[in-house]
Amino acid sequence: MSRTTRKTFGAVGILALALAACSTSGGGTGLSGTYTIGVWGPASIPQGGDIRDGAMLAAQELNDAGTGAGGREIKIIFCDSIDGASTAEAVDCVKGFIQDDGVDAIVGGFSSGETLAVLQTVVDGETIFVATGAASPDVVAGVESGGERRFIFRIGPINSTYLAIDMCGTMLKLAAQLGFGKFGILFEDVEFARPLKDFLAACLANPSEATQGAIPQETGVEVVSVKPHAFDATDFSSQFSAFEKKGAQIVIEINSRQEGVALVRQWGETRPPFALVGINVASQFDAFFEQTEGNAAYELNGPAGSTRAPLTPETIPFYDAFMAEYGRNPIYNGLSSYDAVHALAEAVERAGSAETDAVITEMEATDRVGTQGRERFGPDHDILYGPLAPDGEGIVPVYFQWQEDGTKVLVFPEELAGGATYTLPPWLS
Amino acid sequence: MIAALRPGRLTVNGLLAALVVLAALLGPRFLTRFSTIDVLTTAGVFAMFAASWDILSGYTGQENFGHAAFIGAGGFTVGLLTKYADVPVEVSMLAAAAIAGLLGLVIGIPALRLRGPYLALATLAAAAALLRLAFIFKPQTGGEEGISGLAKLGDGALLGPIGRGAARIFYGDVGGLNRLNEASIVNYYVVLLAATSMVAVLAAYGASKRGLLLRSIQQDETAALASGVSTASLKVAAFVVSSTLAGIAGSLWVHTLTQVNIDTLRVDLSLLIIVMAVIGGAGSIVGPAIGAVIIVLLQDLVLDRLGIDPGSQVKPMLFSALLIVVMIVRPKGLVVPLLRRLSGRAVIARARPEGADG
Amino acid sequence: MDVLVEILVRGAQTSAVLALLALGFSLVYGVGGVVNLAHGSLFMVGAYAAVAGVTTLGLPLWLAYAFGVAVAGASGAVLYLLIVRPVRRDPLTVLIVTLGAAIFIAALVRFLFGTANRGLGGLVGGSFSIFGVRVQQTRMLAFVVGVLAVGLLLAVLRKTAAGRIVRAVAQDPEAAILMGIDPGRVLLAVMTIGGALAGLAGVTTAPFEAVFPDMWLRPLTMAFAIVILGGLGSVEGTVLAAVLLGFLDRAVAFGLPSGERYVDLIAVLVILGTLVVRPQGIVARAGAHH
Repeated sequence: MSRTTRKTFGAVGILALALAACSTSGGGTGLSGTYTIGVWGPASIPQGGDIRDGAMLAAQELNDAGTGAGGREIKIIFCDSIDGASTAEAVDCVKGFIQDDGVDAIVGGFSSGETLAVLQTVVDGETIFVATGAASPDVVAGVESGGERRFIFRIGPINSTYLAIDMCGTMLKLAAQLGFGKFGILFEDVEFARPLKDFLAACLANPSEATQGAIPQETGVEVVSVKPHAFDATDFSSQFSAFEKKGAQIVIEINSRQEGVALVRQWGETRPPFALVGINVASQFDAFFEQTEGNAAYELNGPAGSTRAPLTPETIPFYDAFMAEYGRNPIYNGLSSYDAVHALAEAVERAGSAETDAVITEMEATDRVGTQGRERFGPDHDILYGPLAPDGEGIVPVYFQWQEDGTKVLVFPEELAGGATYTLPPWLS
Repeated sequence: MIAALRPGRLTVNGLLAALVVLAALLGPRFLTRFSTIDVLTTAGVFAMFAASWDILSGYTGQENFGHAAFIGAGGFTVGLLTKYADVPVEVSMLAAAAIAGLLGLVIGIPALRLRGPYLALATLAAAAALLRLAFIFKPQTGGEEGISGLAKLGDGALLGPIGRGAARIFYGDVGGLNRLNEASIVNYYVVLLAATSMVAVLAAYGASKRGLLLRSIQQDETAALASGVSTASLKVAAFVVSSTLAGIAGSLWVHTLTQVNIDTLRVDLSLLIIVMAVIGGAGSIVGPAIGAVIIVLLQDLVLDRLGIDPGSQVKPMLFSALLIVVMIVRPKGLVVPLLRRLSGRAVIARARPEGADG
Repeated sequence: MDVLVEILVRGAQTSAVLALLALGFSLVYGVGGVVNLAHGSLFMVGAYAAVAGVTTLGLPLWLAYAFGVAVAGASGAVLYLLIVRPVRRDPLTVLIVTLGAAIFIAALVRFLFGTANRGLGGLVGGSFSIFGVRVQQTRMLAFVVGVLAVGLLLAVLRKTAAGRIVRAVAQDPEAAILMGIDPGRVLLAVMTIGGALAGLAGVTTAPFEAVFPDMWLRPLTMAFAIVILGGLGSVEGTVLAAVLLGFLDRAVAFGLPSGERYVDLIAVLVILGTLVVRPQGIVARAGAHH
């Protein structure tokens, strides 16, 4: 119920506090006027801080280069949606951006729940919103060019249907490599994960049928058990036990919050007879290895937005700049929010104005090489997924495996893996 | 409280009340930020929460530590009806009132067996059970992510015209505003009317003979029983009235937010309402309502202006500390004793001294 | 049969920790008639203090654990002196102020440590197999500590002079005063020890769970359910009820499909059911305070 405070960054940047100060070289040469972007995310958890920092880095770079957004200085206002779980703060943030701050565009959101909650507000407030973290397909439901919901874009991650297809395909490859045939699924009982696990279960069993030919394989594998857990769960022994009884050889995890730490720690310590692979957002942070006391070794994490690998010529320079500025590596939200600000700036440039519908038209025409991959939007303003895009180019998720020494090695897709392959945990071979 | 009906005090209090209502009606005209209007709307909602709590706990002494259960029941009724049946605003609001009222009955009857702290703990546990159930049925309720896309109050066939009409009279033309700002104004007037009506009706009820009967239960239940008062039915009735009104307030609230999630069921909400009522002065209806408004304004306006970041936990620390201090030092609250002292000066003489009420 | 073994092994482990957690709560009620809704917060304070011991003070792990327990005990004392003692006479007010304290402590913890989960290292690592059930060593340690501490406490209460004093006050406060015992001081001691026990439960549990600002709710609910079930004020009843609830908890988790979902509901239902049906508890006779 409380109104969240929004912090302004930019040439008039103030309120540094615990947040990294984002100051530009006040009014770089040739910049006149401002383009204000409201950025929001749950900064109180690590997942959200990257949204803020990626956006700020992009704004800083563009302002410093003298281009800004079509010659206008980019001003970032950040609002903390606290923890990404309950949605009232997110709606407050977005309402404040529109009603009080009069922003030109909004970027952000981590969880699907909070992102879905703000959609009506941005539509009512007739302001552009670029989603950066939510994978639910419902984010772009009803969006079409010129329609009532035309203000909504999603620049990343790829939506959970595509994530599921990609994951399914990769898991089938892994199963073939290892000669395994029995899978289990362990999912966090939240918005984005439910449709994902349903699809995954169907696809693993009947790939060609479930994906309508996108994956040409006819025969699949067996899914022996599907189990949920709460987003704040701490004990997974009943689920592990069920998987063991049913003979699962690979268990796919789907979780987005810090319970991923306890899960992987328990897996590594109790060494049940199955490999652990899948979506674990906590695992994308460098600190994860230490948090799990080394038990993260052999976990295969993906589809992840990225890891420090040359997805495009832009990716590594971005990682380096982010590390230099903030002292840590970003996770997928950092890349998507960085690319969101760039895409908006370029759209304003092409439109020659900051007027909402003009910018929307140019956003629809986006075709750029970002840090995530080649970025284009479909007719529903959703980012295109490589393998299913018109010419096979788009965003492609990656999969990395933790090693015993705490490093991460990219293992899928094979084209980017440089020969590295998946290693089976020692207690399974 | 019968002293409140005496002419002298009534005039002062009545005048004060009229002024406040007038200020509230015209207020939005002078405000530049729509977010401030939203804060005032929230204040009105919480005034209803606190007032509905008070008619039960402040008057009959059955301390309800789980008022959020009734609020959440109302809110989720609206949410689920919207999600599965696309029901008009007023209909879902009636349903919310009915469900919340039923919940009040379900809790109120077994509560007859319990006294004091046991009752309080039972209500706490009941609210916790409801919260847990909302998590268990997450696919339906959405859990902490909740259900979004609820109708706005302005979409109501009845409430819409009322809200827009009031806005036209007291605020001005809403046609030129974008949908977001228009919703803020309409929400405000609908909530203002609802809150004023609820507080007025409850206050009148509390000041009446029936209100006195309710209080007699708190003061000395055995004596009340002996004088022929059917305490059991009154206690249950109080539960049902309290819960029904909380359900209505809850449904209004989720319509202003256009979403509902489990925040409506948490113990923090129950405790916050107790803080508001205690600070205002339990057992007076008006006290808790004012306490609610003060605390919401304090949280969302004053602290924000002071630059205190809401994410920084200063607020919950401040308010829980405030609750503890008030409970230890001034259990009768702050607002109502102050009001009594103020209005007392305008009265020439008072036949009866301050009673043991409040 | 496998499921049964799982339930027995894990139920035993859960019960030990629950007994440790609930005993402090039970004693405080027995001695002073105080229902301390901030009891779960002391569990949390122990864990967070240990985390601070490691990260801020750089203590070796075992010392950080001890630090956590000490801080939790001290917090119990502070709770008594600052907020419980002034309002002891009115049980309802005690409920309100201790609940307020719980909310305050949760906010303070968020303020000091942030909302993200923290981790606490385990004194041991890996796992071993008990009757075919894979148990993490940290869970085993929690079990051993729980059993030892509970046993020690019960022995102290039965066999020592201090224990007799505590039981005297619980039995009949007025008589205790006549014998020259100050119930206030006894309550202070009991709240301190109760806090320390809760803190001990917190530090031993944290390594295999997580440390987060909402972690006070579940322990409070469980402790309350146990004490209500066992009879407020009865120490033996508490231990018995802890065992019952521990096994029931794991039985539901392993026995029902997706049973983990319903686990938190059980404690609440137990509370409601007992309050409504038999407020004086089911397992043991009522204590002196009602």
